[in-house]
Amino acid sequence: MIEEKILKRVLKPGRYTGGEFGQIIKDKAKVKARFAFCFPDTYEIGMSNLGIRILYGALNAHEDIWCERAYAPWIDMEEEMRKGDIPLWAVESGDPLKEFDIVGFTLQYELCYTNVLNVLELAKIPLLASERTDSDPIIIGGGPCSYNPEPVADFFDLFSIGEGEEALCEITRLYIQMKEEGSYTRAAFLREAARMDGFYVPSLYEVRYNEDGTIASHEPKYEDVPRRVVKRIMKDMDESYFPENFVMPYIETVHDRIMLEVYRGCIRGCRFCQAGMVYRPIREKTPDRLNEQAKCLFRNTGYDEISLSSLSISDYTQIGCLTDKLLEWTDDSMVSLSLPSMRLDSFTHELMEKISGVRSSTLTFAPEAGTQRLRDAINKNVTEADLLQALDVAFDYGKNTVKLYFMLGLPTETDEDIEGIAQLAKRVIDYYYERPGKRKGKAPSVTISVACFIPKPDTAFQWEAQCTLEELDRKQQLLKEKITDRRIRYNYHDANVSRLEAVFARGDRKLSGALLEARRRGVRFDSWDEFFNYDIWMEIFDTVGIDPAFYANRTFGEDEVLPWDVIDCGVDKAFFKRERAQAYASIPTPNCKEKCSGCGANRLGGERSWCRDCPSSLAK
Amino acid sequence: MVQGLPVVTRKIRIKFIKQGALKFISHLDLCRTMKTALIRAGIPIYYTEGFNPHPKMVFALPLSIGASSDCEYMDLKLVAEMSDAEVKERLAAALPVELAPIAVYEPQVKFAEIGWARYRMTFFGDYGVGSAAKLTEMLTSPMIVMKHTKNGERETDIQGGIGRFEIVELEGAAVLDIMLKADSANYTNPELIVQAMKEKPEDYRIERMGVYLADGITLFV
Ligand code: SF4
Repeated sequence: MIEEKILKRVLKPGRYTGGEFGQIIKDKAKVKARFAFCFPDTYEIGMSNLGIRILYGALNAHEDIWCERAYAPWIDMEEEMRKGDIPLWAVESGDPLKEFDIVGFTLQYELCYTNVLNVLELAKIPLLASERTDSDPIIIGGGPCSYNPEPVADFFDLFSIGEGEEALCEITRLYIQMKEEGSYTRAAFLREAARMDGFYVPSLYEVRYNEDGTIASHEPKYEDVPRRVVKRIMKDMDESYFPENFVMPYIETVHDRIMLEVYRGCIRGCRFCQAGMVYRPIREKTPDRLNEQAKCLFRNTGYDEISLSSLSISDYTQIGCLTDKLLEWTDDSMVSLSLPSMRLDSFTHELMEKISGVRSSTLTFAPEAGTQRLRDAINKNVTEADLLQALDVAFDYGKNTVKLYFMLGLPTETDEDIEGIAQLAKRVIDYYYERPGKRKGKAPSVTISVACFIPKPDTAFQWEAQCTLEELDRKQQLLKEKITDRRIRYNYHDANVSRLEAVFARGDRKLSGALLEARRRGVRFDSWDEFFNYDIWMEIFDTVGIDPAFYANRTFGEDEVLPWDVIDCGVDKAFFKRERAQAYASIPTPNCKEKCSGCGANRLGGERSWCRDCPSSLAK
Repeated sequence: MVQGLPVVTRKIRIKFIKQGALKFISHLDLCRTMKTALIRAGIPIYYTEGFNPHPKMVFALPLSIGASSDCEYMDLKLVAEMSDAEVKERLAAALPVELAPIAVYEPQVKFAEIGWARYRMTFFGDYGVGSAAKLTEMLTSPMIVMKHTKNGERETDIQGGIGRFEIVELEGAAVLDIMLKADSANYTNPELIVQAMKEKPEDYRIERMGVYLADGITLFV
């Protein structure tokens, strides 16, 4: 363990000590492979991630595999480590990361890339995959950003594409097997891995560029390496591994509660949303299984809050049945339920009665756009009537603080749509006074939180250009002018941050040079306001000869080879093209519950899925 | 929902340790950890009434981050019968060993009667042989430090908070065995002694050894 005198000098030493209740300790002499799971941000954020909890448990369910955790040290600890020449360690054993067989990184957001490089450097592991030797750990990436792994392709040996519960165990088994046979070399292992389902080994592909910087070809170097890597999914969510136990953090984390994953995927198909596409097809768990898992986690963790987490919880077909089953015991055990991802149109008196977790007086909704026209174009199928109906319920319960989320710079957006945001916010306040009957609580306050649109891979808007900074600034100011009511609070995101996200979201391999330069300049924690420095990034792009506008502000051609074409998320490009055309015609697409629109994800299979009866040929 | 008011059957006191990695968690973190552990252990704890019920736990004394202790106390109320031995056994299974309960019993003395706490402080670095005189001099003169008070950070003389002490010189370290005031009005945090040292030790260790009543002799239990 790290020396006590250092722990005394840093903020929140509980980030580094490990020893949590529920952590898994094994005898390192008896295990055959050691896996370090790294979340490239602080401990508090990493410990709140449900995916890691699942994979940590799934790997450790194998007796001969020991999976540990690692996080990015905060800057004070980093300074101590650099000063004392202390290599980054895993929390459970305190052993240096570089002694592990495999180090996995989860890539949850683009702005963590500089942290990944910093973590590798602090762990004294060569940054570039090409510089690693047989004695270095294998570096695996996964998570949402791996649907376009190209900007970080040079730093990873391989990527696990899609859901990792089985895949990570299989790849570790392959490693063990090759080590035992004596056939292990890094090269042999990677070649073998590339032949397995759901693994992308970037070094086995050759990328050629056109003169204009776009990609000419992205080809496997060998015949047995797949042209496209199809993502892995867990077919039956009831059978899929789910932890019976959580590691219990001592220090406060972001989500310090039981998180119950109710289903995967999303039926909605918002045209800007990557998560809604890449987690398809929809697969549900049964209420009985969920109830069992919740009870078990309650007994083993002692948490008194259960959060039903899925992309849009009210779309769960058995939501009533599930909440009934849970409420049979949660109330008596002083456990509260929370449903964080409610849709406007599902906010009913009946649900409100059931959920004590909606204790807070804030009501949060995401109409995303200010006019029905634009909501139709982005396929966010909620109406003003839905909002008013939800407000009726909320006001009846004395919830008078309303938070609305919007996006600026969406494709097809006009100034009228921006004005619509201000009007919708005003409508909330007016409605409070218009409603007949008794008013409860204080006068309402409305906060609108406005993000900038970021074109994301694997969405209908993947080809779209992001507005320039000048244009985003103009739009932000326009909205500010249109908000005249002082009861409306207006927050907006730093457009510079969104621009950098856009660059990396649609980036290609050429960006690895920028990331290396960023490391040389000590850049990290880009997702933290206090460290994000746009000017440094512009200098970096300048130094390495990269034009950020090429990635962020250019409309990509529909026939262009996209950096992420090598990854098959299950949804077809043809579907995205159709959806894009629909967006320009402001025509919404029915959700999967109403009608299958043939996105193609059904070919991946899946139990208790909406698409079981879809005509699989539709997409072809 | 809770039917009527739960009957409070009895109060219990839990004496526990705080050591190893657990030295580094704050009081708030300790509360949260204890709460989940009590629920995991299935101990029938009393919850506060009201809109946002939470288990009622009262701790005897704060302990600064980084200090270890063999004598932490927490009082609870039980709403159903469970023997002291069973509470201890269940709680031990639900807590990491570094936070182990060492005794569970019915309290006889109130927390308010606590007057003193005894600490063992070990200073490393230049505090070897010959340091006793220096330390004695410091501990018997006015000791002005910045102290958190109700009115914010204030220059305070903590001399009044210091009781009897003894210093042992070792090779490369000095061990100070000291009584500090611990009643709520005059609680003296041992970290303040380190703060008052002109030459800071390279490293130091603080251990809480015992808690005493106002006479400074009778052990609190
Ligand atoms: S195949 Fe049809 S039902 Fe299934 S996810 Fe795609 S659009 Fe929805």
